Amino acid sequence: MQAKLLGIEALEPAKDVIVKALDEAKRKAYLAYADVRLDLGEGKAVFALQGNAKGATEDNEMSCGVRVYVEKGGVASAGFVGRSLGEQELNGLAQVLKEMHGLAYKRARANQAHKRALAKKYKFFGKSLTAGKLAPVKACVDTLKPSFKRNPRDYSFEELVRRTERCSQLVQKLPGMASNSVSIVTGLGRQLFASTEGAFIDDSNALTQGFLFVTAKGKAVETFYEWNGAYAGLEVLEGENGFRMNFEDFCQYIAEGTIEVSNAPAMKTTEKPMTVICDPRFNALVSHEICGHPSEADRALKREAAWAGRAWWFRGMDDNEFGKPVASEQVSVFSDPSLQGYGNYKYDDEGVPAKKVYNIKEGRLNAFINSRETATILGQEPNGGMRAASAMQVPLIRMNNTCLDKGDWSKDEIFKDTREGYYLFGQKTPSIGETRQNFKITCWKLYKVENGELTQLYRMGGITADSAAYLKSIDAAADDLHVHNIPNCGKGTPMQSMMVGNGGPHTRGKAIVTGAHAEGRGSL
Amino acid sequence: MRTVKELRDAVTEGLRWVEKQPRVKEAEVYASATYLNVQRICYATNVPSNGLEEPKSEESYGLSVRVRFEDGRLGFGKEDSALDRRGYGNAFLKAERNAVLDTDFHSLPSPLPASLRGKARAPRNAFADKAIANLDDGKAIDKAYDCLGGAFEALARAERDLNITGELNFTVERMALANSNGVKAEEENTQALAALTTLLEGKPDIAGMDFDSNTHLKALNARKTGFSSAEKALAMRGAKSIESGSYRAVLGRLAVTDLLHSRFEVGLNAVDEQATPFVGKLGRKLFSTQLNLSDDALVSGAIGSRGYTDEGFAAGKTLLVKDGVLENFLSNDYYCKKFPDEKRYNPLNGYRRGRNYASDPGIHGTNLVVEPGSFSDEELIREVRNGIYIGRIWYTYPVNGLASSDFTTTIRGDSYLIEDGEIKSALTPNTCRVSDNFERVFKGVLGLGRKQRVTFAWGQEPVVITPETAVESVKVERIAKGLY
Repeated sequence: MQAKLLGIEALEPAKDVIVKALDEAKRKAYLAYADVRLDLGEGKAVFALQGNAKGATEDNEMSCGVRVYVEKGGVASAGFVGRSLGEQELNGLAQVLKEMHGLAYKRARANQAHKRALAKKYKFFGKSLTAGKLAPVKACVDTLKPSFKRNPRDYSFEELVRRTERCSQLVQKLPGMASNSVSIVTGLGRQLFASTEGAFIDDSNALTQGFLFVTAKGKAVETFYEWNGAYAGLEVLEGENGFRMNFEDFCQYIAEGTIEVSNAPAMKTTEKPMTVICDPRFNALVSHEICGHPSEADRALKREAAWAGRAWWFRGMDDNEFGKPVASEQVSVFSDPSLQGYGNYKYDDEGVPAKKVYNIKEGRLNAFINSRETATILGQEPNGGMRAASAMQVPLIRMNNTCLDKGDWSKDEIFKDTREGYYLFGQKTPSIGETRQNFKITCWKLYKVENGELTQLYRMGGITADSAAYLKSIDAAADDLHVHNIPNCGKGTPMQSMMVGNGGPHTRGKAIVTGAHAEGRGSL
Repeated sequence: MRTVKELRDAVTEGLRWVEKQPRVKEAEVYASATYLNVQRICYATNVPSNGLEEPKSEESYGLSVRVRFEDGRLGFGKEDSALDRRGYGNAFLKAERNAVLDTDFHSLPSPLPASLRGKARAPRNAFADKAIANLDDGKAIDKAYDCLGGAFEALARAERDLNITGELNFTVERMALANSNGVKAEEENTQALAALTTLLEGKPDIAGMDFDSNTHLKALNARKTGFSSAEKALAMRGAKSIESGSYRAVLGRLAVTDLLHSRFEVGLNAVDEQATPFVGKLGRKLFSTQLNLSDDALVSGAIGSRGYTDEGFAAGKTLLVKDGVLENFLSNDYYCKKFPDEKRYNPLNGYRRGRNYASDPGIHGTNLVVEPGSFSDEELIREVRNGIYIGRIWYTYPVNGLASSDFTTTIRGDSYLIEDGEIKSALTPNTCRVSDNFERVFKGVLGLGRKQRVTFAWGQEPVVITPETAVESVKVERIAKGLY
């Protein structure tokens, strides 16, 4: 007897149920808007440590979220309910949605009543309690099929286990490899989105990703992890990915590179800013942390200030850097959900068609990634920036494929034009200031550049700078734009881990080059 | 939400059924139900705001089975939203399908010998409160607005642009477990948490944060948390910045918590993957003799407390650092059996993240306790004499890799300059980056406060119970000169 697994086709009968539930919800007296998201993921995943599979699964997950806005006397408020679902609940979805709508509506009403009361009690503080209205958008109806060459379903579970173990074994036998773990996931996902405004988006996709963690022991101990994936099928494991390598070659490349780094001397932090050339994957972290996050309108509007932080370039509606230089003229930064990358999608989780925006245009702050509510506040067109990690979680504004734009230099020209400096290759770990005003980001490999050539390799390298000063120091951008995938961007309460794409071309700027902080096991 | 009895019945019946299936050597059935209610506070004077964003909840329940088959393979399968025969039947079939031969897996947990059992058994459901489990939605929203109202009260009238953000969370977790070796457990846990950050924006921005948490609702004072957050922000008026250098410092409780979360990685799984600075350092003196640390699951009122592990053992306490010497790592049953020669390991930290049936038990801390010292908070300031008080840090990360104790972070609020043994003025938030090394900083402990407090960090388990801690030095870089 075989285990019963739900495939994404199982959502088909739910379409009519959702539409009827929303028709029912519209009858509620103060309902201004409601939407439903129902998602189902199916797939396989294997994890191996030191060449031996430690866990494997072939399964499905399903969840649902209902969001409601009510409005009375010009005051609008929201409520949300999220649940994970099983097969039985899918069969009784009408009742489930009725309960969820009832609860979300009740919450929104209670929220709205308190908001009015608070504004009345604290007249001074109440003046700004005016948010909660959604910008109008066209109600879209669309069906999107998953894109793949080889269906994730076609990979046998046994073969996936064997391949994961094989990759881990390949890495483990390399001289200097102390430990490694490998995981591979592949599967299909589908989400139904519908709103009381008549939007209905049936959106399916495929995802395949491999992940490698290595600890190398050379003259010092060096850890590193990297992933390689795409919204696609099994072809990702055969080389149709950002690294242009099959998964075995990718694992070997990362492992050998980390062993090489473990034998390099530790970098010593420079006294003053140096010329630094950053490769596209290092620029993925730069664009993510100091461009993408502060361009999310909810951060700029201070809604994430408690934990995720604010944006230094937006202090208030009348006090901000819009139209002013925040980077050199060589720098443009865009967010483009139509590009291939983990930030690729056609509609966001409010059903809004996703649009490319320039966050920074030729050095000047230009636009934020927004939601319908923040678009109203900022007086912008909604550009489709709302995404949730699953249907049971509330959508937040998330960057999509946010990248430094390409320039007109070639990579070779940048190197030839650089007499002395450092080259930061590959991304490692970021640490950012609360308003994204300052950063320290480390790289996989740090090289000294002398007369345009790479010379000494260092480990524990990185750069630190104030964000504006660094962006203004960039004097060259190459024409080799590359989008790198970041699968684990954290935001929200409770925290949601989101997949995004980031990158850029090779760039040249100035920053303090950082190194080891103190002597220790990893920094001898 | 499903009751503990429903979960218990499901694991009892499920185990009975699974054990009868062909080729099953031993089995475990685990069921859980979790409910999280979140009130997200977002208020600002200088941009339109909602006060409270959408009151929301996330809910799930289901069961999972772990099966060791006669051929030695171990399988895991789960079924969402089902506790009946169909649920454990399909979870079993998935486990059968998913089984792999993990050469490090020996057996499912068996009752522990007396020497390894949790020393103190918690009273049944000691960490559960009916008032949280039955909390009405309207009351949860009331509490959130009460918290915001507390901040308004303290601020009376904003003298500059205001931003108040934070959260109230109410969590209910229920679990039941039974396995073929006679291990059984069931438990309900509840948590209430309030955290609020008040920012007075201007030149410079100043920020204060306060928080409160408990396993019982009546002990949570949301209004006071809001009031205190605003008061702390007001106390930051007249903030000054400092130049780069090495400073003696008092680390406030949130700062100690962030550092421990970032670099005190003592799970045996991390040691096994060599993804921690502490590989090969067991039994070595790494820190000041004043530093004593343990993981204690049985602290009354602390939201990391648990009566049982998710492998079914009575929870307990594990001493990690004694007089500066690294004494132990945290483990679960799997890793204890993987490394049988090291007798000091115990399986008291086998937990599933978020107490969720959908994952198998990993290694997670509960309450990480820094033992108190003899200093009052004022005496710690006097001990430092000249330096800084670091109240809250932000985005603390191991930028030089997981095998290194290096970390970097920025100071974001509730921080002060110490001159001649007294707090002299506030330290401007977002103007200092600390780049240092965890072992180096905690080698130089000057003293520990005698007042502990339960603290937490964004998106992190476990909670930390710590006093303020004075250290000989931290390395600070002045940042963002043009802005703040």
